[in-house]
Amino acid sequence: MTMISDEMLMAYVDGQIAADDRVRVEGYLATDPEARARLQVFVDTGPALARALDTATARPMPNWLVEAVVGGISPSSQAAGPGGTVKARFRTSPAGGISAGGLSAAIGRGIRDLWPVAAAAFAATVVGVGLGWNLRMTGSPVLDRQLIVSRADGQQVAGPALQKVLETAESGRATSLAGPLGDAVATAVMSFESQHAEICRQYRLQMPAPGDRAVASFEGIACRAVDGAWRVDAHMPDPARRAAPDKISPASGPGHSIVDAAVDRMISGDAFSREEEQGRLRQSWVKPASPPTISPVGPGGGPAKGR
Amino acid sequence: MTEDIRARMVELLPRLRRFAFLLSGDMDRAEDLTHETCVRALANSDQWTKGTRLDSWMYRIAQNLWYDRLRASKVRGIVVEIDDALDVAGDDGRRVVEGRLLLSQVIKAIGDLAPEQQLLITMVCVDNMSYREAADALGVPIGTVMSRLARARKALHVSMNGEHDDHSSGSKSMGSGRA
Repeated sequence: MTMISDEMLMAYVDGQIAADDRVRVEGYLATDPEARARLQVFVDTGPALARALDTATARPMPNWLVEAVVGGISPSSQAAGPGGTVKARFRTSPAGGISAGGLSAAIGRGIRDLWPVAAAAFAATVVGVGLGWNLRMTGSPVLDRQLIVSRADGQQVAGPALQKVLETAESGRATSLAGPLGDAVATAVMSFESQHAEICRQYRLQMPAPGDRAVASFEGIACRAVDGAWRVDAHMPDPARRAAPDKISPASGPGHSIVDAAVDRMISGDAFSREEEQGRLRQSWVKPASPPTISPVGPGGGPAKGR
Repeated sequence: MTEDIRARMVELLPRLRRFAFLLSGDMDRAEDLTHETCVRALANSDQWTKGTRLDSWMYRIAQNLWYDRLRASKVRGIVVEIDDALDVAGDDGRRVVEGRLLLSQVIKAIGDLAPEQQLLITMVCVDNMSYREAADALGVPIGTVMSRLARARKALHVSMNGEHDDHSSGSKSMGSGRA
């Protein structure tokens, strides 16, 4: 009989096991009565721990803490210590970046949850809105990794499933991704060209929330890098919009979300029209490579009609 | 440059606060600790090597601050107001109860782990990093990460359940753990 190591069981729970090891572990789990108890150790200290911790730490990030880091805190509330000199340097950044004043103005507008606002303030200059939010979305590491993965260089990119959606799905069309706790639904919301001449898409992810009826929702922006990876530039939980995968909306107006605001700052020109987007999709966004999905259907092999 | 680090710190805030909660067991304390950590990190930002991971560097700062504080106040393992934190956390009663059962024990147990083990568990189990990423962040081989992490989680589990039986009799670690 083969010995199944703790490391293997752990990797199995964490969704980081190699395919051939997986088979061995599953065989072991199916046959050995001791297996479940050993496995439980890693479930309790892994997914279960993470979920409990998320629940306990769910309250919004307080304004003062975000401001302290951004640099707008008053010296009196600054903790004693050698931190005082640094913040003075962080006044404004060139090119319309963050300023403590801008942030305060945003606060002044009475937006409830300051943390996302601060994140939006960063959107202009910094790649990455709220990427510090955990990427544990579905309760299943395996499924999470299908959606967003961190590369070795720290860059977050779309995982295989989200990648496929971004690469091939029209905006507004929901794609179901089966997971152990229910289906996650990924939808590209809109496509646009960024000021850096990259193709970017806003997406929405709706997750089965384990244990209750509510659907957790996330939204973000991913841009297509030259190597074909979709770099996740923004990703945030989206408590405001629960249900309905709504229609394509180049959002504007007061009610729109943080990520919408980030789009506003990133976009060059308008969002792609449906026709533009279809055209781009057909060419796999940039060069006529050949993704698996594209197969010319109509007779004549080309687009049947101009638009 | 400072701006750059500040921006990245804001991104890290949720993770930092969560880690601080894991250490302190209380959201208010966690936010204080997070704040102190950022202040300390900004003051010493010249010691952070650009291109290396900011998260593990800041986690260590948080740990140092926390254990300094514990030593200073001679308080051991503060686990008092966990219930408050949990009440704030959820509207779904069932999950809160689940969390309550688990968390108070977990936080106590986490306190008994070595700082290096706390770091590993946080990065992989809480932050959802891959073993490879954790290995890179800590500058150790991936095999070492796995054996250390497995050991840390077993220790945590034993401590969480206040028991001493160990199912590990049949197990083996792959490498010679400490590298």
